[in-house]
Amino acid sequence: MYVLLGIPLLAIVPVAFYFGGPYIAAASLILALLLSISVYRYSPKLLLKWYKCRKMPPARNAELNPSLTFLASEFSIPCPEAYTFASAVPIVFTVGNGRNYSVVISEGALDILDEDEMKAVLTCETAKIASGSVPLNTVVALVAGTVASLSTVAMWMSMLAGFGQEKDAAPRFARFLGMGLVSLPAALLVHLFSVNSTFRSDEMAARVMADVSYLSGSLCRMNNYIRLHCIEDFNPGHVHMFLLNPLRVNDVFDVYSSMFMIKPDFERRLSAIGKISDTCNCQG
Amino acid sequence: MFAMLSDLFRSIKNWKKALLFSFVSYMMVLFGIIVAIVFILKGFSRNLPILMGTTVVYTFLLLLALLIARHLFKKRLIEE
Repeated sequence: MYVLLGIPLLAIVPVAFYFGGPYIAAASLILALLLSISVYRYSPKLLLKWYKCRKMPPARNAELNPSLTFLASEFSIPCPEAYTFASAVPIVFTVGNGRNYSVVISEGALDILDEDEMKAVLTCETAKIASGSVPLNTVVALVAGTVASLSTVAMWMSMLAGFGQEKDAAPRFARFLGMGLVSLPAALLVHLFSVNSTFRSDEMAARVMADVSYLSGSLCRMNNYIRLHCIEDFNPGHVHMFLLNPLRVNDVFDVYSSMFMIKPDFERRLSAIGKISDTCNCQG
Repeated sequence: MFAMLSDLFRSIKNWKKALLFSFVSYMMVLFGIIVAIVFILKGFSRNLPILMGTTVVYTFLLLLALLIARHLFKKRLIEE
């Protein structure tokens, strides 16, 4: 994994060799390796800080922790910690670096899901950890998210230069142009390096659940909420690690979001879960 | 005429529009680079080979990235 992360940084070494000689090249190689190791190790913490996540309140934690402990032993993975962040949109995602994992559940998801549906969602997230896609997706989310957020810098520079407020035409246009520059590399990063384990984790989750209808029920409820009420902007570089895709293309300013929509079609996902449920019933 | 253009624009998939706008954004950056080179090297016509070389390399790399993106998006973008 470290080597994989270091590959893009190795491009610096020939440049350093050309300008500074062998010592500078060796120093830049060591620096590149250190940087890739630290990005790999600290990306979960940085993403938790990005969303201003805090540990689950004790009352909620007492409800969720037994389920997480049971699921961790079921999938033979380290027990993840539960975190929450302030957002009305039902968003659930998992970050981790291979040793420690954190399941992050937005306040919106905590509000709209009942106990059984929450267990189904946690099963899906722990299945994602068991599938092994979480560490790479976390690193990709940090790097692609950082690149994608540079468009916000363009908007702020335009606002600070006196071109108006956030909703005015000039800052929005500056952001649109900035997004045009940063969305291509960010989307390429997501498409080339992220692992889409949605179907696999759904299948793994459905196989360990007693009643699969809770999984499809929770996904439907969250998806309906996102379709009808979601007005928040999410960083498109992070969407590949979310349980559901909260991005929508409402007008021309949102057109770059379409480059990040790699989540499977929702209906196909539901029918795949339904098929697994039928298979399990037949075997039972 | 405008109705036809509007229909044409609507018929293009969103990710293709995004690539188109990205191309335009990168071309604006190329314009900035050319202006900067002209000002730094103090002259347009005598630095034409440098400017043409920069333009060709920049455009080639950009088109390569767009082609890779198009290939990947065609395969992986599932939700519209």
